[in-house]
Amino acid sequence: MEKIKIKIIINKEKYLIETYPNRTLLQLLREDIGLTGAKEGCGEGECGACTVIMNGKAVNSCLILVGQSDGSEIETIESLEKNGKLHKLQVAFIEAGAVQCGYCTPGMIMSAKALLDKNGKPDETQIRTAISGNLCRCTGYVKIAEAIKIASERMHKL
Amino acid sequence: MSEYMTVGKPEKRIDAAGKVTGKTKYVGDLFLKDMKYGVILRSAHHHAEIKKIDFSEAVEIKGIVEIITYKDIPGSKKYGVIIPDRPVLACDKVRFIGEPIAIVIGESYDIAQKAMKKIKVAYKKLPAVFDPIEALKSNSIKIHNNSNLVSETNIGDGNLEKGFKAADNIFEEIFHLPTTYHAYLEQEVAAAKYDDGKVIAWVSSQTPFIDRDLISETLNIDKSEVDVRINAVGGAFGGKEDSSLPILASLAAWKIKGTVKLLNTREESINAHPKRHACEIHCKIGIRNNGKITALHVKSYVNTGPYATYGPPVAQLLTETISGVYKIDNVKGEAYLTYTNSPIAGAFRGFGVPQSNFALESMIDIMAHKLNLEPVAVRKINIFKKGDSTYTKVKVEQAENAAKCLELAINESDKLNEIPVSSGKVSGVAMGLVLQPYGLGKGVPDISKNRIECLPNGNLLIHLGAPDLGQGLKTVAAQMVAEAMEIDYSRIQVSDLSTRTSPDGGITCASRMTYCVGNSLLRAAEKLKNKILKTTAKLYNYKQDELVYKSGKVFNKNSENIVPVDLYDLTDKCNELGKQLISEGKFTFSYKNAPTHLPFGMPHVKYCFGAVVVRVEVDEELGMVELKDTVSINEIGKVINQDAAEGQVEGGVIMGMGYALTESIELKKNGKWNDSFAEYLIPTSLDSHFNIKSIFIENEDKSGPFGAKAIGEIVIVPVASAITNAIYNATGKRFKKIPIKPYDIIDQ
Repeated sequence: MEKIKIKIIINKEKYLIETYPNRTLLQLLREDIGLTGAKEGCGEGECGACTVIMNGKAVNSCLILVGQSDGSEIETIESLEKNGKLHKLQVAFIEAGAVQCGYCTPGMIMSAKALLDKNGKPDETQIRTAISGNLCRCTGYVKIAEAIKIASERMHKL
Repeated sequence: MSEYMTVGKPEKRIDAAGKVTGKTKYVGDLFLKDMKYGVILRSAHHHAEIKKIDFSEAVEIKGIVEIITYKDIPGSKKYGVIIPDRPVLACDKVRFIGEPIAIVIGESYDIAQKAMKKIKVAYKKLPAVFDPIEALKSNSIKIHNNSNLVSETNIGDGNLEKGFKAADNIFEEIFHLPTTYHAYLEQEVAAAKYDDGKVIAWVSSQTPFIDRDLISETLNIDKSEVDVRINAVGGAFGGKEDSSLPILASLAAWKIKGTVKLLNTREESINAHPKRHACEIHCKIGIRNNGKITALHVKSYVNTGPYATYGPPVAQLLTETISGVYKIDNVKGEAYLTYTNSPIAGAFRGFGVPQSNFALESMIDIMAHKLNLEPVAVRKINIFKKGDSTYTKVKVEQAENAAKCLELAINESDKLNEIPVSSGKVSGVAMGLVLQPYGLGKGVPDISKNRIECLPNGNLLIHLGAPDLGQGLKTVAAQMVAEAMEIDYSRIQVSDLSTRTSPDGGITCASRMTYCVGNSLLRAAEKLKNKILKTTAKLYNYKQDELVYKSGKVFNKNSENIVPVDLYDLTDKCNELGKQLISEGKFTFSYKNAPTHLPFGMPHVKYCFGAVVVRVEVDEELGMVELKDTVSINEIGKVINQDAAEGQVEGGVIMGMGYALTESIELKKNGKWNDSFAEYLIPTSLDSHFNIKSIFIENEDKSGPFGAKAIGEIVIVPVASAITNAIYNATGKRFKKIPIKPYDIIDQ
């Protein structure tokens, strides 16, 4: 197999990467760049633990081949904390008690961010729809939906 | 107002910041120096002899490092905490789909996988048996050489014959419970490093000290040469009481004298990990016309798959809890734990109680409807009263609290019954009650040891001896230590776990952590305060009896003018002298007054009570069941962290809904098990869009830390029976088998 070259912006940083075309965006992030915030839960697009934002949309990075991400802009969970200050979604997740084992959390927050970037005032159904591709086995989703609601209200105030 | 500073408050989870930023490292996030990658060759068949394995093409793959089989194991080739019947790697036979046969190690994960696919296993397929009752028949194929009966539980109280004679009616029903999968989101990974005779294993486990012991036995090296480490665990629910991956990763590292990371795909996880026991429960109840139960006879056929794992105690606890929160005089409980070729079954949240509860709480409603009584009337007449005992002859502490749960449940039912039904649907409200034991059972060492250390920055470090699975053990431990040491919660840190340096806090299981770890830490705190006073007296030339510890400082009782000694200064001074201020607390769960007539592991002596009330709406045409409202009432002693306790309830209710409506490991048309999240449906955020109300009854338990009892398991238990009872109330259709799927509703 021959390597391919791709250009990609990850968390506002430009990368020129040579890698095999059968690798996924998730592998690129975790193994090549060292960003392990996005998790692998199933590797087949069913659990959402690997969710990142690609060109403004929440995607399962385990289903994106690196070639498909050529020229795209990626945001991962690592980009949310700025100068030691947590993103309002991160604060709300902590305050609402929305974190238990934490394995789904980065993906959950990225799905929520993709929603709030487009819709600052989502209702409960819109929130639950936005995270419906992110499985969580610990929380029952109640406090996660609450956290997203709290964050949206706080972000809207500004 | 609470008299406590931090206990009972919704303190922020101590490990949340790392989790919301993605900084927390799970085992899969470790990329160690010179690390190789391992995958596991697993059985493709339910039951087969291995005639020959051809590795010739696999070893030709560039980048292959090693292939390991049972022949490479230097120590015990089999393991098992209860019965050592499980091969580390299969030798001549495989007994379930997914059974490990070989470990293939490569320079990369892709190489290892590529090589694994080149291995040719010549199998001789054998007939398989999946039904626990079939497996008990004398003509059944044998999974091992002997009988398929693994263990038998047979306990009772009173006189069954007399009890049935005293009944006006006898009802008999058979219930079927599915095999279910824990479905924690974390991918199963274990990493291990071999260096100079020592093994370090990084695992995601509930049982680090058992993992250590089993690794030591497998590798034939001393326990002290094995260090099992745990940082973050991405959910467990009982599923991580399985040492397979930690053992295999350690074996791989030992064999290549290097570092290996082993990964299970989700498919492997679903196929190969121990699951909740499927069972068939035969329930016979004698009852008077007024609803008083006179006799109960339960026979359970419990399917543990081809290896015992935690099956024997699961079958025991299932049997212990067949009479639930009811005082029944004549009871007999039998359970037959059976080997089959189904997926291996082990510990799963509730540990047998969800199964027994489904049968009993369904029976209560079935009988009530047949007798034209209100189900709550049957519950009321039979429920524990103060001073009552279980049929295992355990006098139930605060037994009257069960009735309190029922009273609240009746109130909540009345409210839910007033809600108008959506158009085109029918609705039903019903409940299930629960008795959930906590602790490991009489005879089983039920101990927790944990330490508290004063740090030079004035903070306290808890050396927690048991893993936090995500439920919040680190957080409640920190709150309890903050409270006991009278210092701010923000000044408590919790260390990661290493079996080499951490005390043994026991297995994180059986809803026992708040109680056991908490009690151990309270003892450690008392010792630490004493040590602080003693050390202050010595270093500052005071008499110990004139000193008093308060809020992180040591004061002189005799004079207000003497400047108090701060923990910062004291620890600093100790450090200069090369001394550590550290103490260990050991707590042993008490079975002192427990009856002694039962076999090893029984009875359990401490209980929580609970009730779940649900309102469902059913679309009979589409067969769709929607949960609309749930109220979960739990008598759990003092709540240490409100948010964490609610989180347990909400997660437990949704997991219980999955058990009732969607989750089941079943054979597909192609003869394999369903083995992906697309085929095994756990509830999503949209499936879970309904009201969940938590009510806690905080009757404090004197023996618990700050009066706390337990919560981890009780929350899931009565959900399935409540939903099933509510579906009956909505549709008149009674289901004795779960999950209840749309076509079941349509077809009946």
